[in-house]
Amino acid sequence: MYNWALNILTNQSPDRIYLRSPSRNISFKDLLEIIEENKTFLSKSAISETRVLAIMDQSIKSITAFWLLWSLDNCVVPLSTSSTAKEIIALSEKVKSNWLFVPNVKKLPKENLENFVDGIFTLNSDFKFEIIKSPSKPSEKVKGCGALILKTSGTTAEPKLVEHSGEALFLNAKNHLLSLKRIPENYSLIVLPIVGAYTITAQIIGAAIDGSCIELSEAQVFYPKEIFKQIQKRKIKSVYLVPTQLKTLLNYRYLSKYKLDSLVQICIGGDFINEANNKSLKELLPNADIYNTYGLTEAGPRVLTNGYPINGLEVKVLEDGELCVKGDSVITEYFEAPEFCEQTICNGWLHTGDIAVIDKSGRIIIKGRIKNTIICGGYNIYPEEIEAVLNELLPKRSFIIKPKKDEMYGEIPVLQITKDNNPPITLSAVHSYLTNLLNPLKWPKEIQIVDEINKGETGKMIRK
Amino acid sequence: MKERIKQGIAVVKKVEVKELDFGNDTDLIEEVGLTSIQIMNLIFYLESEFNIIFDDDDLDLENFQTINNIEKVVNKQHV
Repeated sequence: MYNWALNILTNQSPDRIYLRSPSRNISFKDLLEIIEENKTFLSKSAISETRVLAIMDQSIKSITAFWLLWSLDNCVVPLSTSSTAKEIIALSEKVKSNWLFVPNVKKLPKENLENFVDGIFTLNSDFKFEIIKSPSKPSEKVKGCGALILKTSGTTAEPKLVEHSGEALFLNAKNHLLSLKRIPENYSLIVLPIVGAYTITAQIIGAAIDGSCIELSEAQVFYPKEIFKQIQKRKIKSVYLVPTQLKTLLNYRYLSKYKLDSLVQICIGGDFINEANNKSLKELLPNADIYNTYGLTEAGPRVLTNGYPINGLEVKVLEDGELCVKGDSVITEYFEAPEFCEQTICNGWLHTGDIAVIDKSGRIIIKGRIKNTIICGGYNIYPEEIEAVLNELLPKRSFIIKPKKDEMYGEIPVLQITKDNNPPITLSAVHSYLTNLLNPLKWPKEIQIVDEINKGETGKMIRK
Repeated sequence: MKERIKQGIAVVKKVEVKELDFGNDTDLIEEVGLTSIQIMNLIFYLESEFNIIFDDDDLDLENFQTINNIEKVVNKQHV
């Protein structure tokens, strides 16, 4: 019987290494053998055509688990290692799943999860599934269930769930790859958490389609020196980052000690990259192709590469500036919440909630998010626009523009900046810099010094 | 010195020192759950607290994974 995941894996050269870590390599043939060895266990345990919650860390086991579960038409609901028992239980109830996968028993939340989650299983050191706790009842088969359920806050104010089919993920990954220059014998480093749509499609599925090798770090946290060492030692050719990670890497004080010229492709996604960091990256790696990508979980997720839509997607900008997207990988409704579709999906067009303009060459430039708009005395302010200008003044600082309630204006833009080893910045210095660069209505009216800026699971800064 | 290091961990984790109940060999990432940003903030804190600047060689992640390892790398700077 046709299975989208097996179809991808069997189309590759069997001996090609797909996953590489300091402790173990797995070829496409190895992966198919692991799937074959575990098939009986999964079928007997009724882990097929059902939804499975999975705590995914940055390990080969986690990526292997994706393919194992997909090969039996399961729908994976990935969770980060920092998930709490409360979050896991709420999600398991919402998606009606009674199985939880953990790559390592130590990754289970310390709270008393076992009393609440029905069945728990893991992969042992021989890559064989092992039950840690048997479920009280067999899992329900879900006819035609998707391949992936993800949380999103992309186009609506509250987090919703999005379910993608395997075919949609495959199409989005394939079309994303077609928008990039192909790298023969590619080694692609994963530094983003493997629980987001971007990493799962572009890197995990994309590498399997393309025959690339995924490189994983043993370090379970994003740490610049470990990343540089790995790029240098393993001759990494491509990497996917969010702008905050890029900024952290560029700010590493001993960056110049590392030879990073094996890198020929850097994909930036998840947020808007600023011109200062783009410029620094080009100076650091003059021969690398830098791709600014744009997407959202609801769209599968990739939509644009360097401002142009990827194959299989149509885009349009409405009169009020909102970007809309339509295509095979775009969802038709939210998971068990069709009422939210009326707000965001109309005649197949997904309203992204992002403001965009089309330049003379047909390139789409994202200006900011509608929901991020700060309405200050009736005037619309896009925080991303202010941040782009301030990046020239504060190239090495971590900061964000946020709204603050104000009695007179309704909302005012404030500059939130981290307390670090840099000299303090004053509001008058910021205003002086912004003179002639930005309309004074858009200037931050206050500075807030914070220990750190709150970030989401994928490293995106949380704006509100 | 261990107490000053623990104070730094409390600062970056935004908790009271008395809430930190772990040993000097406990893995600060796997077991205490320090995030990437917290580790980097801890490094800045240590440099400021002990008036040192870590070399690139000192900045291996494992040097910041336990209190004992941090003590060793800070002591190396003091020599």
